[in-house]
Amino acid sequence: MSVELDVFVGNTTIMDKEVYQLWLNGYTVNDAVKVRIEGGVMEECEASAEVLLSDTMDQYRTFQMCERLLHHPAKLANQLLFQIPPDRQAMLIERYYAFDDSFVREVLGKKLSKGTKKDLDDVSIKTGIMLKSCRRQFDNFKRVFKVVEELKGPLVENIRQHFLLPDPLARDYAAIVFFANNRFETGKKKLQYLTFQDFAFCAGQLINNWTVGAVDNMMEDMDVDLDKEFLQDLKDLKILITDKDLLDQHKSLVCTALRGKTNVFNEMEANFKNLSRGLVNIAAKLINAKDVRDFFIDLVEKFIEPCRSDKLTSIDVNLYLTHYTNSAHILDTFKHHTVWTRYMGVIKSCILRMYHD
Amino acid sequence: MPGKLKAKIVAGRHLPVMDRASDLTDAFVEVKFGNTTFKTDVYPKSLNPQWNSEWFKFEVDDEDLQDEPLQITVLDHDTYSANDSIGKVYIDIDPLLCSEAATVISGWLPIYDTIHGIRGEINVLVKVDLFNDLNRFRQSSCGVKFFCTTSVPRCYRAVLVHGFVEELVVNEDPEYQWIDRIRTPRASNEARQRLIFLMSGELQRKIGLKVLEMGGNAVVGYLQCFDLEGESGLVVRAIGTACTLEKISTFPATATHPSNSSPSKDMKEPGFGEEAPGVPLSSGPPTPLRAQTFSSFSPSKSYSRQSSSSDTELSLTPKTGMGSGGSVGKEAGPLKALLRQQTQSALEQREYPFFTLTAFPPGFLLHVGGVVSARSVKLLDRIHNPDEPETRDAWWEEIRQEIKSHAKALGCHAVVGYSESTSICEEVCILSASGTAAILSSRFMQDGPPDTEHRFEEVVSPGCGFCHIPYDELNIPFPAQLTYCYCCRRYKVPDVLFTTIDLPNEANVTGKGCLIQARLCRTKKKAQGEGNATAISSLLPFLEYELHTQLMNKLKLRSMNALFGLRIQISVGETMLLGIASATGVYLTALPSPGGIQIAGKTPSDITYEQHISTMQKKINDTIAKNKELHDINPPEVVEEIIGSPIPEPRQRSRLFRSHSESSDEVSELDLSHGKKDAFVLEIDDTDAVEDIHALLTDSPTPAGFYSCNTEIMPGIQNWTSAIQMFTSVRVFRLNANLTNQGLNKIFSDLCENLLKSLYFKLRSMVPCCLCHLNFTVAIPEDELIQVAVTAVAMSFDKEQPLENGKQSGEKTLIKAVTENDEQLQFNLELNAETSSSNPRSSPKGLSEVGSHLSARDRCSSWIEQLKLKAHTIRRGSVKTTSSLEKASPLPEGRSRSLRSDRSYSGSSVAVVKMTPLSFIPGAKIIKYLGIINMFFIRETSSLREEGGVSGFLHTFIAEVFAMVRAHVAALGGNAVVSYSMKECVFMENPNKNQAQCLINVSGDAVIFVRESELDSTLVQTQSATTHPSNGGEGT
Repeated sequence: MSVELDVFVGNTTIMDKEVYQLWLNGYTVNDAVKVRIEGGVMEECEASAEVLLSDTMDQYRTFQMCERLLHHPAKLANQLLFQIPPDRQAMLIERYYAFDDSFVREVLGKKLSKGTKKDLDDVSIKTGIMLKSCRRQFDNFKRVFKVVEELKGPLVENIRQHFLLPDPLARDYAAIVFFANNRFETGKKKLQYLTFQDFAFCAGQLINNWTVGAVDNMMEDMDVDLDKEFLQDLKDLKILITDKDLLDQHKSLVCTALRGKTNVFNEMEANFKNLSRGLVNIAAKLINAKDVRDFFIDLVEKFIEPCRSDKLTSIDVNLYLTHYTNSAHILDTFKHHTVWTRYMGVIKSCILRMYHD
Repeated sequence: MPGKLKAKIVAGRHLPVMDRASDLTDAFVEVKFGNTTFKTDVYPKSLNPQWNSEWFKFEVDDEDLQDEPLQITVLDHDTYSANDSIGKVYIDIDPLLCSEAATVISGWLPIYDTIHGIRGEINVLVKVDLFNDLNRFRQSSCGVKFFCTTSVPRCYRAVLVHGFVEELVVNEDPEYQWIDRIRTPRASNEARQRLIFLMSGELQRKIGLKVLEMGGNAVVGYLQCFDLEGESGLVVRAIGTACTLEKISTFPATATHPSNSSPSKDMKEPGFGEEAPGVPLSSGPPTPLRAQTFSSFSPSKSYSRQSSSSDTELSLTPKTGMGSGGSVGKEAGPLKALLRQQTQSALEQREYPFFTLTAFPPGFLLHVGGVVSARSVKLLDRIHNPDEPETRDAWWEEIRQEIKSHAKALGCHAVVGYSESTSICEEVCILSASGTAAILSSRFMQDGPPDTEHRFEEVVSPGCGFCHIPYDELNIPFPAQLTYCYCCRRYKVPDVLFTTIDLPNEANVTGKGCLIQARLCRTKKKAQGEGNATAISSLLPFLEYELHTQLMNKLKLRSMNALFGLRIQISVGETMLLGIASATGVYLTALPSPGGIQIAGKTPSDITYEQHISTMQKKINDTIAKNKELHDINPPEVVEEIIGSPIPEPRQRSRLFRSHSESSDEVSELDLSHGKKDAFVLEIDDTDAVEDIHALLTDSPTPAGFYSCNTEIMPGIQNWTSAIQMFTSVRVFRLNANLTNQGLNKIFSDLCENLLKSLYFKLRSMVPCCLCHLNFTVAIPEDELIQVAVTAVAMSFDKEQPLENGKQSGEKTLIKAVTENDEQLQFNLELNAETSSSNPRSSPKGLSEVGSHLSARDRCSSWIEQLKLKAHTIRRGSVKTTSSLEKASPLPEGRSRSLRSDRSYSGSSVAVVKMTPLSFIPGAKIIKYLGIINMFFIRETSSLREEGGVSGFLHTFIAEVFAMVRAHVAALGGNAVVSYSMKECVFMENPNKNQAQCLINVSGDAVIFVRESELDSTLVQTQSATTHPSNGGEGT
């Protein structure tokens, strides 16, 4: 004796948020039923395990049928098969495209290729996120990447329009796409302390200031690549460390401004040349794609770690960077003010964001 | 004569990839009607083609317009090989043929393929220019409106109810033709779909003709069914109730249509509601020509019945006259008798005084006798000549005669809530018909006595009158306990009342109702041919009896005394018979309070045995008490009349009752004048009773916050919110071999119970809510499989407001009902007055034209012009009104609507279409009926596993069917389907071959509704003069 067939179809498609989440998280039907039983829904509604199983299977089936539409969220709005109220549609899309920070940290900056996908089982074991869910998240990244890659115009806006995502989520995806495209290294041990949101913030800074789209909205090019011209210009900043006079002058200006304002003045003074060299060298090397990848690791090694070993607080760092940036403008022989501002603005906010334990 | 059908193919979207190489499709469209085909250009390399074709014009007879669907085929062009079909769309253009329904079909319709399901959508525009034809001998019946709704549709009023119409057409099933061996499954499925489309078109046209012949202009309660008889053919049959309807409208009156009905009649015959005291009838000279207008009343065919071969008449027919009744009161003098005779004579002229309606205009239904049903087992043989379906006709005629005689036995002249069904297994077919014997007022019948005389009877009993027994007290057709009515104390009522109709609005009810279901399984031996048929027909009476007993017990257990919406379905399989009876139990205030259930032992010597009985008795008593509380049943009489326990005196204990069917002398012993209630006694000794009791106690109560019923609405619940959720659920259960009857019963019962539990769980977010119109259908798709399908609607209601009606019995509700009628009535009259004054020339003049049109051919043209002119004003009028409704819904005007609806749902471009099996939408007013939706789909797969197994396959298919219904309704300009039902869901699988096939037939009425709140503001804007109660037309 067995139930051979069991379906329920509503004119308005019924979807339970909780079950949807379990499905997204990659639970099998039986595991989902267990979770629901533990959740106490049975007592609440005078239901039996049998009823729960039937409901869960049914919902899973519905989600599977919807999944194809969720791959092209715009289709969800004008398909006829399921009658889903707009707020529900938004919920479905948002949750489908939501991801785990711990997962994204693992693949951030990696090439979204088949090879990476094959390694997902390791990621799954490491993060404790079910493989199914990992695959979904990975495929989402890849899908968004593929669609947006070829599009003109602002990245975030493109993502929001094509995938009908809420703004914060669209920004996160922009960061993921941006990282994947530029292959930033994020997996090194020294970077482990950084969260996805740290990187997303930095990506936002880079997208808004260092890409072609950042200077000229009308440009044909897109937001995913860094502005080559700008990277070229960055080489000119080298003068700040190669010209001995300029370096000394810069140092004395900064020290004058800092004196008496911080407890760690001595450390700052002692380290000035070292830090300055670090930052300017990063700038000068960015023209090489390989060094772009190491951007974050360089920031940590060349700047954040030295500061940390000197026990600077983030207020100190802020103070230092502010004066470091501003003082350069007062230098007589330094002419690359725009490039400097564009560079240091991003560097400063990235470092500040990354400056934590 | 001719009409011009015009179609334009605008665009496609979401097409499937047909060319693997390019991942694109080169699509073009074939538009076919009858034998004419047009093609669009190929739109190369796109999944979203923009054809924007010219208007394809078909000049055709209106007969063909009614029969044929417009067939749109989307194909992929292939230079080197044959073009691949992407899918098809069938468009029923019937709604466009009626001036009052839709004017254009425009919108995105799913492209459907029987193998792949929905494959993209196509945007089309379809219009019809119809030249009015006044040929008396015409074969078409354009303009007759069809409604699935089994009551007078919400924005109409009944002028006349003519009576029963039926028709059936037969054909060979393409699936069983020799050619099927060489053609593809797709071709075969399409041939079938197309044939059924054609047959239902033809059927509808023929029924329409009969309606015109009777002088009506509409069919209400239209019920169309398919019998897939396999080798022996395909039968499509339909029944309905012919009516003359008149539109109640906020728009200028559109009540005149080219029908044969006498215009004077349309105006003068008082419709429902107009008769309440104090309101003047619409004035005018008495109609002079009443008798002359209609020459033929007989809805039946003149086929002779002799043709049915004797070997098919094997069996037959457990007679059941269920229910019980009261008597003609002694006060009823000769006048009443006279009146009855008159009405009766009016009805007797009809061959079958049957009505498919389940709800009636106030004052139409006078008395209810009880349920009448008839069944007959037949052996199918091949239909030799499709043009003369005599055998099938004769079969049904036989059954209808029997129903008629049952009704007569109950002292009734009419049968209401009438329906017919079949169950087929191989070559055996069970035909069933059932209804409720009743006495109707002649008010809506054309030959009835003048209404003035009739008033006498009405004044008596708005809230309880229908319960008063129609039959003679001294000549009761079956044993029943009669008492005086608990409302008026003047007439006799039965102790229980079973009916197939909805609870009348004006009925006095105590507490709330609930779904009551009896389920039964009986094994039978495998047999062939006649032996099989005989075996089945000998089993049937037992099955019915058992079901009846179960119903009765469950009714008592819930402390209720009446069943409404009773529907008994018996399904036949090779090795078993399944029976399921569903109804909504209520406590009618007019009927006596049911006594408890008393268990009696046969051998009272054993002490443990006594104990066993007494614990069981206690359990039952507890359940009854719990149920009373659950359903708010606390009639005041109980306290004063039943004192003490329901345990009967010792004398009675020894007596063995079994259900109500006691010997007749028992009945005469009872003291009728007191209405003393006896406990209902169950004898425990026999195993059946143990089983019964077990079944009684295993029915689990509905979870908190849920109510359920199988009628339109739940007695005792009124404040519905606008949240509704229609759903279909299907389960198939595989049985083990060698089960006993008991085992089977338990499994079947559990299956239904679990299904209900699942529904409650699914819909828990809607609490407090009621599952209305719970319609169970059972089938035995193959050996050891049981299929249960449910379609219903969940409706939320507001708990905050007190549920008044429940606790009030008697007069208060009664008065309320009367005043409501009053108000509604005034509203109608005012509107009528206004429309006629605002549009003075269309009605009277137009009508007089109709009166004299018959002979004068040359007048026809002027008549047509008049019509066109009127159509113009109508259209203009409606535009004016609807423009202020903008946000409300897709609007009747074609293009502007589609544009507007696109914009108004900014988030999504798909308009929301509500679906409900009920005839109304809570909190909303239906402002227009757009036509009937009647769709038939076949889906087949040979990759069952890949599509998610049987559940995945069926889930997708049902979702697709819903989607197609919604799309077609939206294309007609509607925003809802009411009276929706899934009449057929035949599922077959062959998992070993990885194959499955399913056939689904659905129907309903496409409508436009507006929310009541929006309607109010609109009305204030458009016609500030009219003030009316906000719930004017919306009786709950």
